[in-house]
Amino acid sequence: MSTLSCTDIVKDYPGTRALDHVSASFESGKINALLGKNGSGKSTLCKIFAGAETATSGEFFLDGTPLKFKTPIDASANGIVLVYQETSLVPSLTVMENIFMGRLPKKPNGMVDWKRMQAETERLLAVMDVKIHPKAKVQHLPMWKRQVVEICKALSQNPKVLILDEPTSALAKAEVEKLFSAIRKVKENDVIIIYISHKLAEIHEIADTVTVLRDAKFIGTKGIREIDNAGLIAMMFGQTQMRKRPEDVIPLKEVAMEVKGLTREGWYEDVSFKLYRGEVLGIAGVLGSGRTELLGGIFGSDPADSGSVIVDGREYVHRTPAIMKHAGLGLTPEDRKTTGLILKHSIESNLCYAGMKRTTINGWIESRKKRKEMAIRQVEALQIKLSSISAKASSMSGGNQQKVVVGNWLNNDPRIMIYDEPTRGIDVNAKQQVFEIMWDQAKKGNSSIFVSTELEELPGVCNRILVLRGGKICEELTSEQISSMTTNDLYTLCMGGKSGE
Amino acid sequence: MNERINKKKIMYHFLNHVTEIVLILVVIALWIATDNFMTLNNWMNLLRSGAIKGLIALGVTMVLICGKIDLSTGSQVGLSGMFVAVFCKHMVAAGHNQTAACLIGMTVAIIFAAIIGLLHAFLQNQYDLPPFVVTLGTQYLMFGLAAIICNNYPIPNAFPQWFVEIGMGRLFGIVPYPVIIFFVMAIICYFVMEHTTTGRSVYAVGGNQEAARLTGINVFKSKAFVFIAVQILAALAGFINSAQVNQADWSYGKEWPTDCLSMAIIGGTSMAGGSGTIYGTVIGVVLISVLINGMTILNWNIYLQYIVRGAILIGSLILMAYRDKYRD
Repeated sequence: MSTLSCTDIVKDYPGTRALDHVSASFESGKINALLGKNGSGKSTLCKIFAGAETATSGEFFLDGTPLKFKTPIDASANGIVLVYQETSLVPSLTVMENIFMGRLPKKPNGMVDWKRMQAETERLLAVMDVKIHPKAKVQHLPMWKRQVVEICKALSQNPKVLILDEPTSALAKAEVEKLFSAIRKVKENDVIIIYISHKLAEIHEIADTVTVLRDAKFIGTKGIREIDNAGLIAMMFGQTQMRKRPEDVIPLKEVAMEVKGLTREGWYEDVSFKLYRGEVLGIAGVLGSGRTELLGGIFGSDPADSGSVIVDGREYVHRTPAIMKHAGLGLTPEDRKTTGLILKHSIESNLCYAGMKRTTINGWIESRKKRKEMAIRQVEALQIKLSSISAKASSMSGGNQQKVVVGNWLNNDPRIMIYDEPTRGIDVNAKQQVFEIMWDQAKKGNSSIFVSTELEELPGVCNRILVLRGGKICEELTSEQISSMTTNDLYTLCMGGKSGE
Repeated sequence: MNERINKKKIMYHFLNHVTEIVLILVVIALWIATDNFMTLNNWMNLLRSGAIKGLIALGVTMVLICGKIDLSTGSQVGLSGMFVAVFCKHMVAAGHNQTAACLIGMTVAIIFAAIIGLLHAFLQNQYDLPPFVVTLGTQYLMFGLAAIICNNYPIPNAFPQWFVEIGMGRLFGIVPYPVIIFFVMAIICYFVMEHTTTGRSVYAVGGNQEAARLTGINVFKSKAFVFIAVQILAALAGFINSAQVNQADWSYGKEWPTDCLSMAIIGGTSMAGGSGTIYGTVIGVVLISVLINGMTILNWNIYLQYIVRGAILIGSLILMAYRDKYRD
């Protein structure tokens, strides 16, 4: 039996602390779940184990031997392998080539030893008790078998520690069970398995122990039989301080926007709702519920098959971001680094793209002075921390970057703002400020749609919550219902009853 | 830590101004090494030949800032001159006024250039085709077209005198008109790129196309602008080039794209898109023109000059890689 343990691990990123004195230990022969919501630090911790990141301070040990890695290659040479969420397989190559990529076995004459490769692959697949032909091409395999190949690839390096980063995130329910039985087989081989997840439902099925991280801190480790779902939720979310919506954020009776029968095949179906002026409307849904696609469909940045959006009595059937911007909408995208900001451009530029027309003197020629004023207005209003307004957007912390994305839109005075995961990966204070922006806008009669994976954020912020499950709006929660609701209730609603996903 | 940041800053500024420094050094070296480099007449001549390619380099700069590329400009040079010559020749033969024929030819050439530019933008935007290969295709297409419309015979002496004057003449007998046209176009391009929504949108699209689209910028409009602008500038360069020799030939300009790319990239424009300046390209135009002129004055073998020009393009790409690295 072997043990992987860490003591006092700290990891700082510019502006945020991802791990705060975390100490934990994981034993072999068990599946150790590492649970936490997004941004809790679970992935960072595992990346440190696997040499993809280095800790700011703190140590970790395998069977008492201190370890320090500079690269993932170092780590795998020492028996620690991380299987990433996104598969790193080459679809056009065979299973066995993928497993031995970069380490193809060779005959003494330097040619590839296909026979040995096939035999080794068959041996590894037998460990997991899965039937896949070693010569099958990966592109012809279903997703769960690709995950199995990925795990075999890790096993081929004879790891002592095998870390699985949310391996089920792209799988259908039936596939999940098949993958789980394969993972259970690995457990018999005295390997330390760390299973990263934020899905409560699957933890009870697969894990033997569960370690919870919350807000960069270690919360506790429990045997799976000692704790039920409610207990785990309490550990994951803690005594979250409900952010209080000010009393005077009351929606008006006027409709700001109406979504009618919006459908996109395979993502969402016949979605209709009304958004009122001065309202903060939450859309609750788990990953894969179709929420991001729905928001994109409303704003015109993603395609929709049918349905329309009515703003100010005008019906928009054909929508593009440019058209919907003109109609008074704005959208802050989910991934601020790749689609929200132009990282290599200055903060000033990034604050003036949506409202570009407003920086001009005649609609075409820009006034430098106006541009600067507009940028500074948002820097002050949103309390954006920066070294200089001409610094690159890439130089800022996540929270400040998010404020720039929001500020860019506010400079265009939108009447309806759509926020897709605005709180992801930013600290508590920055979150609070983002919420205050929504409330301020609401007081001015403007409306917001707010989406967050962190469901516990929604009740405190929103006037009304729509629950999106399997691409359909299956529940509408009024502010009275919300006020008597716990995070657990909302979580259960999103997952579709008690049974889980 | 602080020292490292400082060093990075110094390196960044050095890389941003290295073109100017190199230009000054090359000028001094040629001044010392040759007798007739540092004469007004030589400078006017080198600027005149540089200005023609420089017009294209201005367009190339805008295309690169948008994150795209256009390699077809060389063929546009031959084709646009040919359009003018063909109209002049046939309309005059049919008894029409030469000036009118010339103006019609120029209009047709510019409209055709705009259509080619629009086609590039459309193909890129609609099917996400790589402009590198698409423009290689249109390069062939325009080259062949230019040869066919004149029945494979170059057309000499077809232009009216005022048209020839655009290429040959000098303001006050000193400054060649092409140089003036180049600087006027440079100022217009500078103004559009730095001070208008059109230019700022091009920077945004080149910097991050998806982010630009999501902020409601019309991405196709930006692409169409740069692709059309570069073709029209190449057509202008074609007019001036044909006027200068009073002849139209489909093979004119065939090798220019290399030099034009060098001019833009050495001036600080990144092929990754989103960064670069017209000012930098103007410096690049002067530097490349001085180098080519210097090699001619030093009487270097013409094929050696090819080697040097190829090396300059590769060298400027290495410089670009360093700039991109130190930019963040």
